[in-house]
Amino acid sequence: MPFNRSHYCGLYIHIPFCEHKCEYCDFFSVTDNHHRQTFVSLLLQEMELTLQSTHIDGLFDTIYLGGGTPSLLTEHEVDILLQFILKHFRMDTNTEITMEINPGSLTDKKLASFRRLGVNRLNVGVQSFVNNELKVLGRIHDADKAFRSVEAVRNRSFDNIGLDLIYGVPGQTQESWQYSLSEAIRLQPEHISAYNLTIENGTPFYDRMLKGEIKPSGQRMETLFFKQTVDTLKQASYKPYEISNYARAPKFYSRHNQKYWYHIPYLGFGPSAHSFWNEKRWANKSSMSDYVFDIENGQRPLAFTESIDDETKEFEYIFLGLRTYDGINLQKFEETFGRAFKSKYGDLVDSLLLNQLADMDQSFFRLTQKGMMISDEITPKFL
Amino acid sequence: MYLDYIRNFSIIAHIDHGKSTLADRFLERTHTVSARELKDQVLDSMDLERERGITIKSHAIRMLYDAQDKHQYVFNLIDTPGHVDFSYEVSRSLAACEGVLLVVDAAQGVEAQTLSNLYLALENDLQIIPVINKIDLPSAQTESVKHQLVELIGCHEDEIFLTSAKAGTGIDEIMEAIIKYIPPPQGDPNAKLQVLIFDSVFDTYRGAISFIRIFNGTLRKGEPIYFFNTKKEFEADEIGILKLKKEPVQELRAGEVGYLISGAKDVSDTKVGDTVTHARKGAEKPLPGYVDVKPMVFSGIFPINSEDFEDLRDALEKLTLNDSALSYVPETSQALGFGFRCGFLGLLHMEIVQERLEREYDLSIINTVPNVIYHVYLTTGEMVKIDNPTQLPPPGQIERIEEPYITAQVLSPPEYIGGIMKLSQEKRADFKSTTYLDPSRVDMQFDFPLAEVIFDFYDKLKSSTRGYASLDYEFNEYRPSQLVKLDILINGEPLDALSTIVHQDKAYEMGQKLCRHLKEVIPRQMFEVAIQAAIGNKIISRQTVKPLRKNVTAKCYGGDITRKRKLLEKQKEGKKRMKQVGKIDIPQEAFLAVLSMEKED
Ligand SMILES: Nc1nc2c(ncn2[C@@H]2O[C@H](COP(=O)(O)OP(=O)(O)OP(=O)(O)O)[C@@H](O)[C@H]2O)c(=O)[nH]1
Ligand code: SF4
Repeated sequence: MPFNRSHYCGLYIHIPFCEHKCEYCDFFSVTDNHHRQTFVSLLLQEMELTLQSTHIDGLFDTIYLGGGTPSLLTEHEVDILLQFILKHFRMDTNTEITMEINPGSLTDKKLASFRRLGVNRLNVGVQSFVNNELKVLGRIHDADKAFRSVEAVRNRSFDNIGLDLIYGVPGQTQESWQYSLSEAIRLQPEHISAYNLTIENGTPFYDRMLKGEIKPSGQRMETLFFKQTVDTLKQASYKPYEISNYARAPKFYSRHNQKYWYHIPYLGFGPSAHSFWNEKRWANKSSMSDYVFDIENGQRPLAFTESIDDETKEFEYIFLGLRTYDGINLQKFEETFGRAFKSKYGDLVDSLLLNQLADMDQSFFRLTQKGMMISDEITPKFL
Repeated sequence: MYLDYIRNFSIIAHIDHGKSTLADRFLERTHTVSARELKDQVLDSMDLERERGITIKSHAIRMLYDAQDKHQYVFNLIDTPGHVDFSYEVSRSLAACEGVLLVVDAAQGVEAQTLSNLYLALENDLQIIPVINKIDLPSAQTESVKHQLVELIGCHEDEIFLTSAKAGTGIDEIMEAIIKYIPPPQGDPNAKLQVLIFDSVFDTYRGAISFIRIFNGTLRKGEPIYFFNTKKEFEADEIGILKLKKEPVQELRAGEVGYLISGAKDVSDTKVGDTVTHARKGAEKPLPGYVDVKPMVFSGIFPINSEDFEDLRDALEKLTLNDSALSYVPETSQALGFGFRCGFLGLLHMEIVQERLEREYDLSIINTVPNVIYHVYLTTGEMVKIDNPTQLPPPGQIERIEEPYITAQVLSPPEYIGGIMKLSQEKRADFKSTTYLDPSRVDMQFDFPLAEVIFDFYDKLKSSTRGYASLDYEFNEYRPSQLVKLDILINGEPLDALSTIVHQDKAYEMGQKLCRHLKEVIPRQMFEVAIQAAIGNKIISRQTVKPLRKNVTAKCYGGDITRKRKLLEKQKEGKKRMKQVGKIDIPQEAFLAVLSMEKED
């Protein structure tokens, strides 16, 4: 698996608890501990409900503990969870087990136990190494803590670590972003995700933006940040493989995330988790009480289910593919959708090539960096 | 003789001087309608008309008036449309009358439309009863308006009637005056049949309904009839008189006014101004004055969604059932796809059609910049009429181009003369004359290229005279002009729907304005968009819309691909309201650029 990519299934577990809600956060998580104690058992019940109603026979090779803050789980809880999974799902021997961790709520002891229980990849939510920015974002940790927690992780013999960073933070400058990037590089993680901050409706950031208290950094700055990110990380030998994702080597690509991009089946458990299985996609409800209510009543906590027809699948394939640096595998496209990419989208492809927004060789069609910057403008044209 | 007890008349007035209100009072006094039945204004029936305060379609109503001489009189009040676009229809309505009430607002005085209607009435040899309305208004300047009227029609002051239609004062006097001054109709009920169609409307159930005035002979129900102009034969399926509702009768005699339903399907068979006679033993000659009205203003109408093309065709077809002045032929635009080139009597007519298409037929349409018909003389000696700028032959083949000129009459208080002159110069007018109607009103005459007037002349005139000036115009003649075709190129490709024919001296400025305006309305796209204005091969102006720099959301929300996909789909949906020209998304506003641009400055 040179690109750490397989056609085996993925498993996602959403742990919807946080100590404090970050200002920009659009993920489903709660700060009250009302259902904290029973949550893992609810999760197990949910998995059972799914296993009863759906025929799950695939082989899985990733488990992703996301959130929320999965590092809030106790050693015991992680143990129960993983035991259950091993027992009820067919797991590959070489399974990638990732956990998202928050530098603000982590103990050395926990780290050691997670490692022992089988977690072999950590994704550290650092976001920034600049204290002001961390404050603006509403993170519960400072830069120093972030730095030290990554070191601690290393000491606990994790050899596959990812760092999350955010650019486009109100007040951020190219210098401060450069600093965060350099600090990240200094720690030599295997993987770096650098996300452009999106100010989503419904977040405190959004309200503050409407009130004029914070200003989004704007197209011009965001373009500069993006270029700076690519250049800096490339120079430090990180390979960009998706718009926001970089790895020191292809074998450190996130195996789990790639499943999302390549239509590989995955099951998600916990509130707001998404699944893609047998050409169907469904999502769980994004509400703790609804989730609890449904499970206690023996029902799956579904928010919606949709069938992905061929047309939709093709569009997804294209827009997801165009976010990756490989681009669209032309042969695979033709095999899957029964028609050559070029013959179907000839005009559009030509004009993208002509304007240096894309390039193409024998095997792949991909966006250039310029094209990637406006991929949300480009991809709807394939609809 | 029954004719002695009939009066056929109209009320003519400038917009809002109180025509409908006065008509309402007559209806009440004659008990044709009770005050309660009288919804606001009975004579205006279409919503659009009410909103615009303009009577678009004329109708007639019959009232029975018990006069002071103890006789009962039949009053046929014939309503007239109130806008210059429809002056032919006004003239036909007037042709059905023997006299008019010329109503002038006591506060506003004589205005352009007062004059144009007056002239139409004089042309038709009608008796004129001058009426000053709204004398109750504190701002009424009754004395000075009296002077204006004396000046205008040469009457005596004491022949002018004063009324407040709103309060109902002076109404009886006017009704008696109608009997006294307006002559009864003439005509011989035994002569050969001559019936004037002064209006026609379409009814979904009945087909075309014509409003008619019998000049000679007698029309009986069921008789075969012949239409002179369309040379069609029908039967008088139903004839009747017009009260608040239609009331069928067995016969209509010379001098009478009523309606005719003949089995004609739409109004193109029953054209306003046409003469109806008996199919056998009919009159030899039609009544004089028929004119086949021709559209003066043209514009392309395109559906925003190309799938709506057939619906648009249906809608236009339905509109023409009721509007014989509207014309349409299919047109193809490179930029806008399939649509229709439509002809209108004037700009107001165009706006009404547009609005009805959108409101009544729920269509989203783009209409292109309106233009007039040009007479293009080719070097071969041939003349071609061009109603679409894209069809203008290449300059090398053109010997000269002529454009329609109108004679315009502007009435205004004298303090605005300077402003009006300046505006007129901008609009390439030839100044003809100024006449003082009285010290507070001047009548200015110009010859204008019609093309200049159809844009925004009226709005500008109003704003440069604080609303005091009024305008009226009529077609004059074709005159040679230095005209060129101005093209707009988007990334080198001509955007045919934006081509216009403009005067050479204005082309440069117009090109610049257009480019600047387009730059404002065209959003940033995947690549740079060059907007150019060109005359022939010569680029006279250029603007660029810089490419979009960044439009990408960073994260894919974990496995929530659906959300991301929906966002992209929504983005696409938003683009649907734009027109894709080549690879460029062009918003609707762009196609109205010329119009809106003019309004802005
Ligand atoms: N004060 C006052 N207002 C009047 C009088 N007569 C009419 N009005 C008002 O003037 C306005 C215009 O009156 P209309 O009767 O609709 O005028 P019109 O000439 O029929 O207008 P169009 O149908 O638009 O041509 C209305 O608001 C009337 O209420 C009057 O004698 N006195
Ligand atoms: S830690 Fe993560 S999930 Fe929790 S509030 Fe902050 S951003 Fe949201």
